[in-house]
Amino acid sequence: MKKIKKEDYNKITNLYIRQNWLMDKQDELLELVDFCDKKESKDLIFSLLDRFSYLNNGSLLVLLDNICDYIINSAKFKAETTQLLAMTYDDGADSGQKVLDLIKMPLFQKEWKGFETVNKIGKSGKYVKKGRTQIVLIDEFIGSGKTLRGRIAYLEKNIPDEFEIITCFIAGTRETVEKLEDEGIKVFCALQLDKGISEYYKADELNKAEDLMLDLELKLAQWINKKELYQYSFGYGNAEALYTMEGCNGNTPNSVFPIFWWLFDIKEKRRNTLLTRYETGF
Amino acid sequence: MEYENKILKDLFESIDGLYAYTFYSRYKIEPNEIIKFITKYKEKGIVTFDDNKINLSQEGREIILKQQFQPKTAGNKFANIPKEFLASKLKINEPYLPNINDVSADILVNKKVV
Repeated sequence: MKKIKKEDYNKITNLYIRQNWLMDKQDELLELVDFCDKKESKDLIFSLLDRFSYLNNGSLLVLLDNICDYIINSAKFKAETTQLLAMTYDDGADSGQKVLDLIKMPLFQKEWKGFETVNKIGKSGKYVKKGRTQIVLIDEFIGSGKTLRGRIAYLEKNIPDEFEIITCFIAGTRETVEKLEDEGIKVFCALQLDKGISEYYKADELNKAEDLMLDLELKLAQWINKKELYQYSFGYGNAEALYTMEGCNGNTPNSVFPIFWWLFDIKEKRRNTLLTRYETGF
Repeated sequence: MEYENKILKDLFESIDGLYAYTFYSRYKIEPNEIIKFITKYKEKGIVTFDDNKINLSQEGREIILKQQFQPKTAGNKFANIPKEFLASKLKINEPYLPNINDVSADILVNKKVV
């Protein structure tokens, strides 16, 4: 193994104290550190990782509990008229269905019984007809908000009957949540995150950090099969997310900076990435 | 455990603590291992970790003084015989002839018996 420089060693040990999940990913971390040519790039990566939200089972349960509390006590939905609806559009398994499945239990434990779970957006109308007019639209992560707006538009277009809708997420970017609320969409996001670069650095430091990240992304493969890195630059929709549910067997969202999960470098060499994203077409 | 004893011994012998990196230089102790060590002994109040430097607390120093962390030697009383005194085992009734070059000169000097 390559010798670790003193400066990197000190930074890694300090990072481990706050982010102990990284201790099990030391080889991946060292590869990432080594991927950075400049000291400033390394500092940027260390800073991003220092602010990373890596959910484990314990923290996930707390967030699920917060969502339950919102549905029952804040939105005051009635179980017998409610459908919990995954944001899933097609036949593929996704994190919306995962969260839908995970939230059943804590709701049930709170004696909130009789609700319906619906695992595809296209099936919602059928349940509205049956009296399930209170829709809780569920997904794991809200990045740019583009998908959510699309799903709400779909429901409004395809369901002729009246219905009420609230949306719930495990995590998401604070900026997007605020924008959606301004648009009149009822959003509950249990873990609200600041954007990793643009909401952390200011003025000249911000420009520098953006340039450093772009330089790093230029060292990644620009295409993997039909997926273009450009689409995911700084995270899909420029979400700049520092979050994953990998600690509880979740998939890393595409909103996360691709430097942490993009599989190949510019020389088409397979990277040993810090995070794993299951991406269709990879 | 073996490296823990080494670290504790080195820390005990140091005047003002040691940088975590020192243990990587000396024993190739990786960052995740040193943090496991620091976390474990910090919880017990034995070490402190500030500015990349590990130091023994007063309590830690006292505990080591009481030899609670002395490395235990494996095996029996013959386990620590210095190498120079070791030789191949003699068979029963096999005569023993020492190598004269290895024998101390003092022994070979003829001394008058009074």
